[in-house]
Amino acid sequence: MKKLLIANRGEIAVRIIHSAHKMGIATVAVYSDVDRDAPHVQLAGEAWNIGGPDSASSYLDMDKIIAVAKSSGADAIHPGYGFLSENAAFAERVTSEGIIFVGPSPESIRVMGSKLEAKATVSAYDIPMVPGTEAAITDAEAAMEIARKIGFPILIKASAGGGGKGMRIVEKEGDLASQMERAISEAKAAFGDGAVFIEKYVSSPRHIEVQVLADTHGNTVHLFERECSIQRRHQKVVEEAPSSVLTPELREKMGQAAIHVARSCNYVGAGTVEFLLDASHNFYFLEMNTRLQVEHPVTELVTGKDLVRLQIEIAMGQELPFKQEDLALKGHAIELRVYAEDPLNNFLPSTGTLETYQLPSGPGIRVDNGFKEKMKVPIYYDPMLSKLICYANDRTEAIQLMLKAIENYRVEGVETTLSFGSFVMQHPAFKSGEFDTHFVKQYYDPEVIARTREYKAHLAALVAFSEYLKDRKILRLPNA
Amino acid sequence: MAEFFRARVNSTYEFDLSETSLSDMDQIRTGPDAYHILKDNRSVHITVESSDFFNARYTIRIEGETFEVDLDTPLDLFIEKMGFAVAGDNAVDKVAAPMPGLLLSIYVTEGQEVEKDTPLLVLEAMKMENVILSPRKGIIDSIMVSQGTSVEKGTVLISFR
Repeated sequence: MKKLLIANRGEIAVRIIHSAHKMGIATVAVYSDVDRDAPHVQLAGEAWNIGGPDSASSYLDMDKIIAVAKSSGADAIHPGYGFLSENAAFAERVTSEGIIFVGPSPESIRVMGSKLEAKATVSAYDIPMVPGTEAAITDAEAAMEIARKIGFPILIKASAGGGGKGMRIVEKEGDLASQMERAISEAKAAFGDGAVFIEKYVSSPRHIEVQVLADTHGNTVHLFERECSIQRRHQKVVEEAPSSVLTPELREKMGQAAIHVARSCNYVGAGTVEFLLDASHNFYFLEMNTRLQVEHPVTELVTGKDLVRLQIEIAMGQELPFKQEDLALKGHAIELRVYAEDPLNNFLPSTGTLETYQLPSGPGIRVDNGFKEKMKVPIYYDPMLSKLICYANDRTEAIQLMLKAIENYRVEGVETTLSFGSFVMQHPAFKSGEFDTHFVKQYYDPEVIARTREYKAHLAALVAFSEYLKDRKILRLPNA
Repeated sequence: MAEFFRARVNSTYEFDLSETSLSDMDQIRTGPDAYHILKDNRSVHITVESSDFFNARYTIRIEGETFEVDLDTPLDLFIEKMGFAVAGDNAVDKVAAPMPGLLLSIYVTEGQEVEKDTPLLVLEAMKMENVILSPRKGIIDSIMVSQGTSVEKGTVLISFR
């Protein structure tokens, strides 16, 4: 591999460019009209404009991206996450053009991309699964029948979905019809496929996922778990590794299950197998994400491995440089996704210009960032600004480091999830490790953030007042 | 006679102040623009980032957050009291877009009577569909936008009669 095209934007494009450059591989960035001043455009050796701000006419446009790969002489494409990363047709086209796709085969993507087919594929390996529909449906009446059979609450999920889009919980029968309509409409808009499926909603679930790596020589290993239970709108905000509830035995059991899932679809590259862990620590297979995850840095920190580098090496046909027994956990890592959202207003997107934007730094602090001061946060894409990752000897130290890092992260112009992050880090349930995916619903009280802010605002007022009085004294002196 | 001031912070909070307000705050200087403060036995480090005496405007940073403080002096407050300031209307008579986005659908028509929490329209932003609910019971006077248009944050979408 000599030249790598990164078919993505934001922090992940930056992250991939860094690893490629370390390996002596030239890089090609692509960008839409509103991303001209984005860091990934300035960091890559080459940058090509691929169209309008709307994803469909730029980052999702396969023709344009493949055309840029050919014109620029790139011999490989890294899709990052989101956009085309889990699009089997894209992987297929890239491969058929004689370009290396940094990721699994189109067939693996296709199988794991359809949740129903994924379940059928892994069933041969005796992996535990949550009860639900066997076929995707779009009919509200059929949905009602199934829902009655498995019992409320139920979960509606887009068959082609991911990232919480097109996903709805239905608590009671009366809400099913309207929620089905919304879920189907969202699924259609986001994925062009309105099919949904229904499953039993596991209560007190923890979301725990296992990182796997597989090379083309038949080696498959797991790199332990990530705990991703702190979510809002079914999307992760805080992730950590290792999980505070897994025993070494359970960790090994889930790791082996994840390896089996990867083997069942002849997986190659970096992938993530997601599980639900219930209150009694039974785990159920949820799905496999056939790409690099947003939260991969926590795994990198506790294992000391560069996952992007490994993805590229695997894509070049190299053998994994380590065996399962060479891998060990060291220390504790926590990630906070810094979204341009207002935690005091239902996590609604908060777009605008980053008037001030300064990142924290120091030992154990890593920021995977895609923005710069004075940049606008565009409305066209996911509103994530960066990922703040803290690594320390143990969980308590990592939490304390995170609080310090949040304090030193300066953002003005938009609201962010930083204040929410500090709420989480200080909450007794999070500190004790006793929490599940309902953390936000159960414990999150925007009032706590509002009260803290008001207390600080009052202090600020007092200090300003005392400054004013001092300044007035000084200015009065000549007349005295 | 005691002088009364009012502080407006980040255009969100208002505090009434007089010199006695400062009596239970213990403040020592730790740098050119930095102070250590003890208030209610809580220890806080703060920085004065900018000060503009003539406009009575100060920027204060406390534990990762920045606050813009505007002080109304006794003269400002006197003018306000004399009624020269413009009074605002607090009644909710319109619905504005809480964020920028694309209007996917509109559920109501002009002249329609709605209850509080009646779904009014669906606004798509960042790939999420958000249903905007009616803030109150009332009659829709006019709908200022049409389906399929992109709106900026704060755009008035619907007004009530």
